[in-house]
Amino acid sequence: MGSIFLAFSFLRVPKLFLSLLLWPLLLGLIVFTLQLGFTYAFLATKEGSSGSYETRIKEVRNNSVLREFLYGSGAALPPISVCRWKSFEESEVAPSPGCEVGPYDVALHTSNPESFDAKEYIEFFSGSVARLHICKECGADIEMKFDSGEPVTDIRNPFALMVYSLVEIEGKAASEILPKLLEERKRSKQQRGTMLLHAPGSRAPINFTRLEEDLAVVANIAALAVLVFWLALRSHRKVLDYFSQNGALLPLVAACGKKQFYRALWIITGLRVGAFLAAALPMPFLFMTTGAQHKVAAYLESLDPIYFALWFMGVVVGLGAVTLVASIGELQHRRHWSSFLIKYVPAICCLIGTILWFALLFISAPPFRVVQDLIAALPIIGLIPVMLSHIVTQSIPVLVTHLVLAALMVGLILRYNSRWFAAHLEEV
Amino acid sequence: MGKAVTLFLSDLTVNYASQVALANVSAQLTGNIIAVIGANGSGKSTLIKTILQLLEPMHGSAQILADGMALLPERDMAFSPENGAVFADLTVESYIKLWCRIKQHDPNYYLGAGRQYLELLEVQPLLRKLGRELSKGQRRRVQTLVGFICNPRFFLFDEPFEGLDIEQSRILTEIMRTESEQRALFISSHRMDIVERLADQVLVLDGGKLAAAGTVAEVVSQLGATVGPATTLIDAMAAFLAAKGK
Repeated sequence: MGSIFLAFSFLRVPKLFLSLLLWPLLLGLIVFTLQLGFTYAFLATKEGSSGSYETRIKEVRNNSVLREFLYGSGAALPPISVCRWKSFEESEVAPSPGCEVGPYDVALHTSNPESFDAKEYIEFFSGSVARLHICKECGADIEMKFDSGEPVTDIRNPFALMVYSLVEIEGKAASEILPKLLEERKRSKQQRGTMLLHAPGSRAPINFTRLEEDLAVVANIAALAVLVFWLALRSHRKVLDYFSQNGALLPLVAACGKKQFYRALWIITGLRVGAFLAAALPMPFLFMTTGAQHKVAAYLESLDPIYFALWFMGVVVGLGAVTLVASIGELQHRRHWSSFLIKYVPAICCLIGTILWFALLFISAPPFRVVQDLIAALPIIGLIPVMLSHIVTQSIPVLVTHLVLAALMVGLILRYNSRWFAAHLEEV
Repeated sequence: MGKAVTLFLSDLTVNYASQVALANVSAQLTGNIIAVIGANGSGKSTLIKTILQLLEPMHGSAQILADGMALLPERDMAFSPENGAVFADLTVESYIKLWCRIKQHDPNYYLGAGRQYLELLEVQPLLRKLGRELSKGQRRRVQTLVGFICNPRFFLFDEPFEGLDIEQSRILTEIMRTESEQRALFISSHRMDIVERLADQVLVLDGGKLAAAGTVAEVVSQLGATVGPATTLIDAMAAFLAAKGK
């Protein structure tokens, strides 16, 4: 009870409240909006058929936000008006009252407006631009000049540049070429069916067809775990740094008792992670269960629950070990010249382990299988093989060993860490 | 001697990695004001941290006994560090309220029962100032006030007179003398003149080892036996440190 009271008392300090609770809430929202946006876009591209793509293009064409911004209405523009300007005395005049230059109009500068073949440009700008002026030197937001061989386009203001984004949507590539490409891709997938790679060092064939869903799940869960651990460790550091920089760490620890102080730190850490998850989790949940991504949810349901649970715990505890080693290593050696390198040591170990393990995938000799299992079973070194174990299957004993060793490592680090902090409070 | 405590050190050894900070220190001192003196690096701060249970001894123990019971830091002690402590971005008032909330569960305790310290330590004019606007001496006064607000049975001061001018030192000495009737104090200081006037019992550390312990007279006599006769604590310590080449 005292620790809870203490934790909430600390959180009443405005700076600690902002950095320990408000920031993770915002970060949870920002990171997961971005992460899910990217994942959604990635999977949507992979899943897209020509039909769905055409539908989306049609929707965008009929109600474009960009067009709304530029022209005040999201609906498609009427057919483009072509205005061929006429020479009058020493200057040029628009051919009719409706042909005055307006915002975002395009002017094609040519020495012979009467006979210039503008068919290509009419098609190009149709739907994105209201008027196309063919003239000698009339001014417009977009001016194209053809006198020096290769055309030169002058864009007179930043908003006119947006017209080209509209052109992308209205253009041939969007309406004809991309849907065809997607259709081809889908047909090719159907023709080859499920693609299985039989690597000599892999227990089960690697399912290439399912790779995208596997990667989406691994990336989402791993990113979540990394952020949670990063926030957790940073909260310890933030509280300790704040108190020590202000000289209040020793008096506070002494006045509250070491155990109660550390318990309060853990409570703050829990609240911080909780705030982050509270902001971040509803979105992946919606993402997994609704809309176009129901496929991911169905994929998750298709997994062996024990294997999935072992993998999940292995990834979470393994990432925890990596983060703890990196962060505490850096903290303990912060006065050493090489301190900035120390946080990368676990990542380097992880990389070396992954390269070795990956190389052994293509060697069929049984002794190498044992080495491969040993690498995967070790915490930090075997993290990536465990993370990828939905793609390249690991045996249950390997997953269990990795989980147990990583948990043991985390426990020992935390225990050693508490003692180290207790002995070096003044140095923190 | 109603509020006296006993500092009980039994074969106390504390290490920092491979470096020995305190080596086999044994002593038993009873008094209202106990002081520890010694050159820089003699182990004074380590002893304070060990008493506060911030450091774990390699072996042996350091205990504060009152009425036959061992005191606990979180329940019975307060600590005022050498540089004082106030959060740079908080007003002194908010900082004091935070401590009142933590220790007394009443953020306005300092305006009631704790008001006397606000006046004694002249902290009232500082209440609206931010921590970063305070001098070292002002920070020390605020942390001393916070310590008294904790209402400890045993109050530890690390170099309490550092950063204080003569008048402020005199005021703090008076406060300590008055407060020692209600609670026991432990002072680590280089100010031998004040220690001599205040302390009931003195512990002298030298390179992590016990050099002398007892009343001021006993310590002067013990040090005198090694480095020649002296009449005051200042003279005895000066001769002792000179003999040690410090």
